[in-house]
Amino acid sequence: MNASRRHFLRQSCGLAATAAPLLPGFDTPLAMGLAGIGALAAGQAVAADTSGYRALVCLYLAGGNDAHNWIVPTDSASHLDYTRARGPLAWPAQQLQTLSSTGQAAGRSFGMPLELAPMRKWYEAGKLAVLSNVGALVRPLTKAEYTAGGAAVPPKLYSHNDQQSFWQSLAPEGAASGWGGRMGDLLQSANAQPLLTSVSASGNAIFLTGRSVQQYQLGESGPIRIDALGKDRMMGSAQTSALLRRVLLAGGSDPFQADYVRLTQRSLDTTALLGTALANAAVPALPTTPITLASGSSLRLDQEGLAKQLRIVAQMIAAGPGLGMRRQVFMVSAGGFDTHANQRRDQPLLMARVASSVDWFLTALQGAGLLDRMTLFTASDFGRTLTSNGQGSDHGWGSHHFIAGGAVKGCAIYGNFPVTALGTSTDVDNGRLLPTTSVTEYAATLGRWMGLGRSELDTVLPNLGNFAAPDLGFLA
Amino acid sequence: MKPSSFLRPHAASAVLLLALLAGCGGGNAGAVHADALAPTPSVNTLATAQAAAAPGVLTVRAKGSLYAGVGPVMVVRVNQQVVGSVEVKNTADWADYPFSLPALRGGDQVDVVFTNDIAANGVDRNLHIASLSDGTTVLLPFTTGIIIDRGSGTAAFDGLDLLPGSSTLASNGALRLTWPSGPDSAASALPRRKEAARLLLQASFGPTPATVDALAASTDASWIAAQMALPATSDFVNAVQARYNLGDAYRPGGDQYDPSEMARAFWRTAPAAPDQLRKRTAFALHHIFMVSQVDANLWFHSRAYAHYLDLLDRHAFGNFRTLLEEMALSPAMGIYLSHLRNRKEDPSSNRMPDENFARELMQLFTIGLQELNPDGSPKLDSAGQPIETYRNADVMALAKVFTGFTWGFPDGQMTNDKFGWLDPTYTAAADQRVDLQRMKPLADQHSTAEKKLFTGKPWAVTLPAGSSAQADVKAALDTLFQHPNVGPFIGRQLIQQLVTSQPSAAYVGRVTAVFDNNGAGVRGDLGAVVRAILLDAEARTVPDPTSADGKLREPVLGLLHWMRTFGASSINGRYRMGWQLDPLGETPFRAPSVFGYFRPGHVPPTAAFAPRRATAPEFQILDENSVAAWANLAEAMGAGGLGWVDNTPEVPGDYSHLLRVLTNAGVRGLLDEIDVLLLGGRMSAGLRRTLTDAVVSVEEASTRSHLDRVRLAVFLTLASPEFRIQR
Repeated sequence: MNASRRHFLRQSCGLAATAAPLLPGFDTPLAMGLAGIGALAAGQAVAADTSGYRALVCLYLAGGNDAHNWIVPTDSASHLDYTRARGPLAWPAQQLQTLSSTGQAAGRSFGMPLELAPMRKWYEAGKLAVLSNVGALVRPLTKAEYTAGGAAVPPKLYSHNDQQSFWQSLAPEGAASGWGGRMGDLLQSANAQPLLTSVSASGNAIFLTGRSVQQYQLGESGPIRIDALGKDRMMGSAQTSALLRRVLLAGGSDPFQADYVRLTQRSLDTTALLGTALANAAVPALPTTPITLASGSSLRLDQEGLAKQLRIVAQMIAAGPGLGMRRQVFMVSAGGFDTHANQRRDQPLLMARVASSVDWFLTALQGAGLLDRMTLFTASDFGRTLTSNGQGSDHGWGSHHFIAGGAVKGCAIYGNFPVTALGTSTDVDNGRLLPTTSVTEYAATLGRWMGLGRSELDTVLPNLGNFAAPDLGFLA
Repeated sequence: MKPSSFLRPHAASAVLLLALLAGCGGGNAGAVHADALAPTPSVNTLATAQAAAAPGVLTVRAKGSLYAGVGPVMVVRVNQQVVGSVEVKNTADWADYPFSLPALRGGDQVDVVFTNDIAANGVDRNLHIASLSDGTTVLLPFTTGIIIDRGSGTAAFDGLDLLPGSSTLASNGALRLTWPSGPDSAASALPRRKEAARLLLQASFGPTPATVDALAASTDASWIAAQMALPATSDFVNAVQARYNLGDAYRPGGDQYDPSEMARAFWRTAPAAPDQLRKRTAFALHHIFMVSQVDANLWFHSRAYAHYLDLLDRHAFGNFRTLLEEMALSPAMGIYLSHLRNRKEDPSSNRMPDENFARELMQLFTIGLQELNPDGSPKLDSAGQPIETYRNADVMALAKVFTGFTWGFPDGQMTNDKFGWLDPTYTAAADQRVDLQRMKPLADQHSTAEKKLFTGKPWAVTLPAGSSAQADVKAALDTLFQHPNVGPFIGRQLIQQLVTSQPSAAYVGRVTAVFDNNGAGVRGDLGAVVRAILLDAEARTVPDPTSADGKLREPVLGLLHWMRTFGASSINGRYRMGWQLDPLGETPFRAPSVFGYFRPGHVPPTAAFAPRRATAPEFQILDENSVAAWANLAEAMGAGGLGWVDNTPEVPGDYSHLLRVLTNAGVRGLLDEIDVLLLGGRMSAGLRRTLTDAVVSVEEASTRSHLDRVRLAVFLTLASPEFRIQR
């Protein structure tokens, strides 16, 4: 097959995804689909379908989450394998709540720990799905190919910063852009405020940086205002505010000052805009009553960083349509997942933090009638070893992840859930799992929901053509 | 010179300007910036004889009170020649009156004369003068050396009936002054003071008047030598111990126990300590050898953490190999990267050694991920690809090296059955200070397997089966220490911390050469490396204004700079500034992970950096919110200080030095001193104009408001990008 023929087939495949009437949430699916056909026929980039409002939220679990314990095999044979492999890290069967349906092979059943009950609720309600054994891949890979090494093995596996970068950008640290930002590049023209296309509530992350889109960073309590610019007179002078503005925006001739001033200008531009919009966004406050956990300890959502980030994102989503926004990509994060030690002690709290915060967020959006407009997905540096070091687990590779929102076809586990035992065809060593689904496919499925056609996804996800499944099917 | 040839046109231009000002809203000339006024190309009818000296404009900012609808007449003379005359009619706000003249030279006698005083029936015509400016030099009438000579006509210049300079001429008379000359004795020292301040920005937490003078009177090399000779002080352990000494309530487990004593000790000691270079270097090493208090497992072990920070101080100018071993066996690091209590493998239960420390020891603390040339560039294989320094098998082998270690209890106290749980006791009665000891191995818990490191590389080594933990650690650290990557990998990061985000390959190469051999055949001499970094031509040369040399200073360094320069310390010892610092994205000793506050390889994804793939680590924590938060912090610092207790800043700055400078040396002296102390002598012309405008914009025209002038200038300087960017 020559290259141009393969290229054509790939586009045809993308055409099906674009034109198929499987986008019920879109206001004008057919028209955009037809436009897509015309553009494809001409070999042009397809204009993204940006009707309605949609928000994609990346929930990043920093450190490499041990999801082996989030989704646990519960049929007796599999649970025994799991317990053997994990040793002291394994969750006993009685602390797991079985999932009613998973779509995995007959005879297999799965459960989630009690700490994750607030998420399991949404799973059972059909608004949350699991994607199993997903991870960094350049192309589909066998264990033998991994052992042989070479260019098909993703670079710098098991390294925190590089795999954080790979998950977010599909390249190791130093990548110039991430796939959330690259989606933003293609979607920003639909937004009345392009500056707010890509928004982080958790600091600078490559995920949200596009080739042209710059991420906007929002504090947990909204934008910070420069107080002195609003004061009539200070320090004996009525001109302080005007002079401060001059100082802040006086660009130097070197790149450092130029970029510093650029950020200051963006800060000034957005603060006024968002101040009113966020104040008017009808999102409830975080509850101050402690939530008692299965372990006996408790947490308060109004003191949880992740919940605070999700609340400001909920406010942004609620304000989005009023600001003329149609497509937005957000990022929130939580830390502490690098559980080399004290995993049995720490993991229940980590789970409860995520589950309670996500539950609050989904409930808030549902209350605002916006749940169908938002898809939240989890990401993390890597999975972890099945084996224990006695106190915790080490850096791994493939892992299980979660997708939640009104458009999610939930109550299902997507992908092939591996046998959680050592020495299998997916165990490269110590229970580091060879991923059977790639981050690229995960991203493509999310990008398609955001309205991107196949050829656009190819620009966002450079290796998409290496994979068979550009749509994993977990989104309606 | 023929005065008549330029008198009229220029008086006319003053009137013209007033008309323009009135036209744009009430004659509030104060809103017109100096940069709009200074270069006014006035009508030039000068004879060519004057062309040699550039024509100038003397701008008098004035207002008046009227009598019978007539304002005070203001006559300006330079060297007894009248250069202009104008009636001042604005009464509420200040207005600028420009007088063109051939040139204003140092030593010229300037008189501003009030000629039509009258007072009757409670109405008094007076002239008020806020400032005189030639566009670069600004004089305030109430500055030392300026006088008022009262009297009419020639009596205004007779040297009789004198008053100190003031902004108000309440009776006929002249405000008389000598225009400051160019470089005076203080100014001739200025270039060297600027150089000194610039080095102090790189090599300390900030310049102070005294250290600038001391360094200016010395040489860079001898200052560095003197700094390195100062002994290390165990500030952090001493601070924690002082709390512990208050009783068991202040020790771990007690209700007064507080691990944030670490940050308080830092704020208290770092800005004030004499051994600035050591502390600045240790703070740089802290970024590289990160142990963060964010890890809750360290919460109970404050003194162990304090000991780790002191260790960075103590070995800042020592040998890298020693530092490496101290760091690797420190219990704080053992807790943070979980090799404290790391057990050997147990195949029967699928248990494997913890890989955490082994991986980061290579990736972050010694050699990094890619083989490097001495100049820091990646080595490439025959296919042009970077070469990985290690494989996962190396991580697993090195993990076995670091098995068997736990707290360094006195011999005999640690046993196999206690290995998994025994922590030191910290009550005063039972405290053996085990947390101040290196970790010790328990032989039975150490992996005796053969460990092969770097198989296939020139520096491959096999640690034979049955080796002791001590022998394994020594061999592994020796191997890592000798790895050719260490010089460029660590050297480049230290350059980024101290001098510039994007050092040239040649600069890195020169520093690597010193790391490899300090000149006396010693590898890893950190003192020599720091000296080489600071004395390198690339560090000492002031960068071209458009070049990419330099760095963004992280928020903590900006804050420490203000504290040190203005002697700020807490009035109650609490240093409760967290609410002001949190939005800045950096809290001392609370980096989010072992990857630090920001990554040395961070390339901002913007046009200024991305196309060149230029690293600017500190930009990773700079965003729309943290720039705004910094401006708010600058306001607080300028206004007086940080924190808030009993209606006053808890951590106040002392502006008395700048007040003295303003009083004695005027506005130019103030701005020169701010330039030296806050900007290392790199103040741009634009910022100087803005600060000049700021100083004269303070309405209350007297020395009583000098503090406002200083505060305003400090605030705006701290808020400026020029302060944040070190160049």
